[in-house]
Amino acid sequence: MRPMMDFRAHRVKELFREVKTFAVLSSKGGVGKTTFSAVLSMLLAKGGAKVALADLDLTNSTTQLVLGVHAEGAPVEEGKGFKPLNVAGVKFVSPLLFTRGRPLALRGSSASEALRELLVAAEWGELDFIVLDMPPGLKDEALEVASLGARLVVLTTQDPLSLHSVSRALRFFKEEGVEKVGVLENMAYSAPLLREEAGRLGFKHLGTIGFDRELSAAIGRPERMMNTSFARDVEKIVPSLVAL
Amino acid sequence: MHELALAEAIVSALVSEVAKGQRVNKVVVLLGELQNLDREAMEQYLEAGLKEANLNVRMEIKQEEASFRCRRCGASWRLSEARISPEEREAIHYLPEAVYAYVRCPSCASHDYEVVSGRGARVLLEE
Repeated sequence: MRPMMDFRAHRVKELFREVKTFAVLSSKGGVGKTTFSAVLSMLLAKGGAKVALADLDLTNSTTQLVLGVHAEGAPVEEGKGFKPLNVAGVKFVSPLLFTRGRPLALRGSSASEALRELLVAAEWGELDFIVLDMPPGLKDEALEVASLGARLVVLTTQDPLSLHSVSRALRFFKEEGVEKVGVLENMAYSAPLLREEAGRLGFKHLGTIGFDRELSAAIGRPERMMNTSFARDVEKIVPSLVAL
Repeated sequence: MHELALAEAIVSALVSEVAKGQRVNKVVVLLGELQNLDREAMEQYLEAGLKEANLNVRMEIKQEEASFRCRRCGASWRLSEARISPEEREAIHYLPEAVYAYVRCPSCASHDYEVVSGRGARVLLEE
């Protein structure tokens, strides 16, 4: 007897083919992936799309803080799988639904297994877009979603450490043959710094998002977040992003 | 039911294998104890799925015991030796890796162990 292919990986690949999926990632932490993922999801939903948002930062889940929802205490409703929470018009899934806020440390392949399981077990229903809030780094989770066909939205700040780090990640994705990659500069204080490099690699530069002093105070309040200059900047790049 | 989502995913993957030219005579579905899937439900959904997909294969379902080994101290233990509440079992049913949040090594209390066997559903094929 021989093992069959991982049926969950197969199902996730199918899902990413059926529904346009954006994995928001960066080799560097603290660049705004979670906030961007949440605001992007809410903007797409506000535009009438059916949107799912999955927090795949399995060992450091914080998307629920941005959305202002107590995922740790939310009851899990069973359907064909489990039903995502509905937050600000977005179908939201977090590992906290199952870890209840307890610390979770995962080694290597356990992270990939958990990622696949969450995406397969959720009863998504009809969807137009999936947004994946990814952990920092070029590790199992990033490799997993790239290999399963997600479109990559690589986020960076204009800090030299982040630029250097992300530049290396972009070269990696190029070597891996990943085609659908968008590059976005957050907390920008100057004109785009990675436009040329993105173009050289055949990737799309999606633009810049300016630094918004008011954003921090809006965290946890979806309506207030949608009225920030951050949200307005994200809204400007949506057409370019959905065309990725 | 969660079992339906998994059964559908298994059938879909099997259809894909067959479509690629793999000859499949028998399918063995191993249900890992950790995920606590309902065997009857899995059997029912899989049989229905195979019939709908027109796949003429023999199917067998087996249980696989869950066991763990600590990376810190090397201790081994079985799931039956761990104390898990019904709510925790339910959480692990949907996300087996949640076990690391709830169960600690009975010897050294570390969360750093591996699930050696019986994590969840996996499939073996006989040609």
